[in-house]
Amino acid sequence: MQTGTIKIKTKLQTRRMYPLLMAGCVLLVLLWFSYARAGIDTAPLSTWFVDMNQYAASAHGSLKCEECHGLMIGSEISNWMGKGIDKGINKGKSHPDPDSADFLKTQTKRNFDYQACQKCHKTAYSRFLKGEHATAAAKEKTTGNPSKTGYAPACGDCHSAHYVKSHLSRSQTGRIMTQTCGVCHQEQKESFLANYHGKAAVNLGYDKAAFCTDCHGAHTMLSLKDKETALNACLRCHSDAPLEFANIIIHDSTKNLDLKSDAKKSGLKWVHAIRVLALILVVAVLAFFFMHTGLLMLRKLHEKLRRHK
Amino acid sequence: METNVKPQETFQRFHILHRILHIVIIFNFTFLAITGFLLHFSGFGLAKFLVSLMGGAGAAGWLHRFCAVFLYMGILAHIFWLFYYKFVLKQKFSGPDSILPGKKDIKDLYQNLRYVFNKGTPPLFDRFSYLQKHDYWAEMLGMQSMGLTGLMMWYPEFFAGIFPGFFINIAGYFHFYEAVLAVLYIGVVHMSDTHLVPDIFPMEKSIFTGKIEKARFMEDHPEEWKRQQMIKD
Amino acid sequence: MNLKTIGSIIVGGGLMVFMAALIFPPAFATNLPDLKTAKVIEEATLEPLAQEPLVLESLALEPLVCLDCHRTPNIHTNEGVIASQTFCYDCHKEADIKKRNGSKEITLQITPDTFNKNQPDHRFIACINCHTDVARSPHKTKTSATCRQCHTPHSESPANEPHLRVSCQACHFQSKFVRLDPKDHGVKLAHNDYDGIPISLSNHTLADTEDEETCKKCHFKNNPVGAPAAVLPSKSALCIMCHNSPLAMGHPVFGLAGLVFLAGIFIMIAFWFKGSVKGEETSLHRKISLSSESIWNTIFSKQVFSLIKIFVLDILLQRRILKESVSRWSMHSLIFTAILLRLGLSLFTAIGYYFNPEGNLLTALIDKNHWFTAFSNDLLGLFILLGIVWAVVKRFIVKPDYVVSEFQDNITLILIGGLVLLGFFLEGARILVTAIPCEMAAYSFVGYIVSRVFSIFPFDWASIYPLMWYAHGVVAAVFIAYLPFGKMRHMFNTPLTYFIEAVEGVKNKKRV
Repeated sequence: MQTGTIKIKTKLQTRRMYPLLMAGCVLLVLLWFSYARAGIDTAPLSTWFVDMNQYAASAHGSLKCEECHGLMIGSEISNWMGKGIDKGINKGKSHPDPDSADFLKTQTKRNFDYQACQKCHKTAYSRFLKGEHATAAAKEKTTGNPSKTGYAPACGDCHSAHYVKSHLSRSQTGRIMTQTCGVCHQEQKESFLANYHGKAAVNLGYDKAAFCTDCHGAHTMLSLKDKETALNACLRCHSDAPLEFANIIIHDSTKNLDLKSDAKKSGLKWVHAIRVLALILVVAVLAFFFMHTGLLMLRKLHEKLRRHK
Repeated sequence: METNVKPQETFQRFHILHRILHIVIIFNFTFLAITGFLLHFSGFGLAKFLVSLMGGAGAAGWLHRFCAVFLYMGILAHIFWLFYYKFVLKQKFSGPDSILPGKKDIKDLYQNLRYVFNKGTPPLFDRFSYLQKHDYWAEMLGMQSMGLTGLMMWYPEFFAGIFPGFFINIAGYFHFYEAVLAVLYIGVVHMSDTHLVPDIFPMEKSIFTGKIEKARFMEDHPEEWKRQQMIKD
Repeated sequence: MNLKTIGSIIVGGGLMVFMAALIFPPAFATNLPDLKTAKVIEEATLEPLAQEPLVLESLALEPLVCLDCHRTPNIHTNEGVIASQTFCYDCHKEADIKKRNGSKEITLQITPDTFNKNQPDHRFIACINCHTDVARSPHKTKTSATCRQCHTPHSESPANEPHLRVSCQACHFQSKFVRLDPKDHGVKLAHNDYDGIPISLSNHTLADTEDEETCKKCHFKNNPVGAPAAVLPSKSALCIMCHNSPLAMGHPVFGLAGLVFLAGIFIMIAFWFKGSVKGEETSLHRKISLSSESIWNTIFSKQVFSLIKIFVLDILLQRRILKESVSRWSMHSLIFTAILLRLGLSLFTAIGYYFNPEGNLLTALIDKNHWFTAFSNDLLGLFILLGIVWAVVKRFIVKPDYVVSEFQDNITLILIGGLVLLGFFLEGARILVTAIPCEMAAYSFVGYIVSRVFSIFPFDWASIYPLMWYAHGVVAAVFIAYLPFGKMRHMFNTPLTYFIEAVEGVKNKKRV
């Protein structure tokens, strides 16, 4: 008797659970999609047109055009079509002439004088001047050719001047940074995202994990090919790391191997050879046991069916 | 409903320590697999969602290490028991009851393959079949290498001083591939070989209760049954 | 007890479907303005279009501020559309706006009149709505004009999956020349003719895609984009057993096959009703009403659960064949399960495509070059072929006593085997003709090997491909038409027998 009533009660409870379970499932699916769909909103493409809604909401929203672009002295059509007056930063220059042969081919970002940024961002600018990107720019000027990864970037290549957002969280900045650096350093971005650092930092939003600039420095952009420099970067989190710690390969992709140092090259070759071997081993072992179990199951089922009916 | 069926005669098969250890392994293995794969496949929306439910990547990482230590303590407990078994109880590791692989296992495998292709009868197993032995050794040895590679990634500062730097990278890949192997092996092969066998389905309980029914004993471990009957006589 | 459970399942399921509809909005919920709104816009904007404020000229005498020109026009309003068009036309309406390309000068002139005449439907769309990234220095586009932000890709039947790699403009723009973009292996509008001389596309004329001549700008002999040499009809709904296919009849051959198939089914059902139903011998009308009564009675009773059980165990998992022999089960399952899985995938795709044609999932499922689709198609095809080969070996080479090979069996084997073989040949030829790069094609592992073998022979595969396509189509049509007559009738008969057997214990329903 006693057990009977208990059974009925549990049955009733399970029945009441159905709608709850359903609602739970729906909620889970919705939550999942909300997570899955939360993408990174990078700044829109910079064009001739400035989106005033986004500009006003950006960190530079309070600046007037002239503060960066200088006063377009010849601001009447007749003038800006004509000759420039009194060239010089912020003193006044003429608007580029849309009818001139070169105007439509000019790379705006190569052409803009980013010293304007220095007015407010002094430290960042001075760091940038010491860094790899500035070195590359200087090299580019002397040789006249861009490097393999493309033109050496100036401020505007990484930062959207019109739509740059302020007060972003660490992981928001990091996510945008990963995309931005990845435009030129595609292979480094991929290997970073395949590494624990990238997975925890970018994918899971873990603030303690390192983003690009945490190792390579913001604006300084160190290449970290030198062991001591690299170790300094590691020491920021791994405080008791020995010098050999810098031998661990973070960007372990095999693309463009020749650009890497010899030690890394040979290390990477080993890593990938062993990786392929391990993969083959895993597949072989699993294939054998899956076949074994599958066939055994079929045979046993067959015999059971035979026995029963 | 009244049950007129008499409960079957049962025999002790697993020691209480092993039963507890098995539960420890189940619990920790599951959480290790979940948290580990959540990090590796963190690019998927579902993974992000589940990690956030766990309290973020830090908490998931902590859980992963906690379970690893817990699981390894279980394995250490088993190793201590082995010493106890050998030196205090003065028992032997070899013999038909042994979990050590032997010649009979290769013969059994061959015979089982013949049976699968309808060319003979199934082999007669002793206390442990070759698959059970394989399960045991895969777990015992696998956990050692998972533990080592895991430690290498847990304390890279220490291990980078001992090994060349790229060993840490290799450890990462090994850790992942072995995890895939373990999860697919346990999830598919071990599960179906124990629970899905038609006569046992839906569930094999002997590792939890420690007892095996007479019929199953005679069917699954006929050699051991025969030996026990001979000792009795 | 069951009622409540079923009720909660229905309510919960409904909720899920509703949520799914929210998450995957159906195709019609896009931002295409409907005709009515378009007309209102048209009437409202006729005035300003007739030469009203050209920003620059109207302000010519006042000092300009930066934002007079550099503010992003709100291209979702009439004012913004006009402002944006004015900005572009300011240069592009001039007759002397030209681009020098090598030795030749091509005009880039486009006036409001020509544009409105050639693209009447886009009259009230801003230039930068489609040419999204062109308004900048350097003044060039990386994405060309984008259509997909307003237009959903149309259904498969006119432009089926091979056209996934064809850009909208390649068909819809009136120009005779197309090119193959080696970067993404896409077919795009060419900016040069086939002699390499640049051509002007600035007049924006649209092509008549109803006309087959438009298709022939790619589908001719020795075309540069790897299209088959003939325009092929679309697949038919009959192909859904193995392919993602539009729910239309396609070529008349398929229509004929479908008719024969239906006739066969009708004859089969008529044959079933020749027996007596519940003692009723003569009146066909009573037989039908009696049997439908018992069918409905069974469906709305507890027996339906035992029928579901039979469906899963005996029909999907083939329990009774496994009871007979493991090897027979393996052989039959190789064919049956593979076809079943492929059918399930096609049905899922067909239904999903209706709801969310632009989703990544559906695009991947339709795209034959996507690794999942390529691999699963080849694997399942290979399974079917293995099953057929196994059956052939058993019937004609090993010949055990218990295997009785009938004439009908042989026809079925030949038809299915031929279908799959031709399918793999077709795939190989497709990979060869469209020159899909190795790392993309390698996932269709059988097709890729076939394509490598074909490449040894110096035939004009672009011309052979249509012939093979028709051969595959005709064999498929014959197979479908033959279904209710030959051995494959067991697809319908056997499950029915199982069901009736299960119900038999309670009442006699029908005699087969």
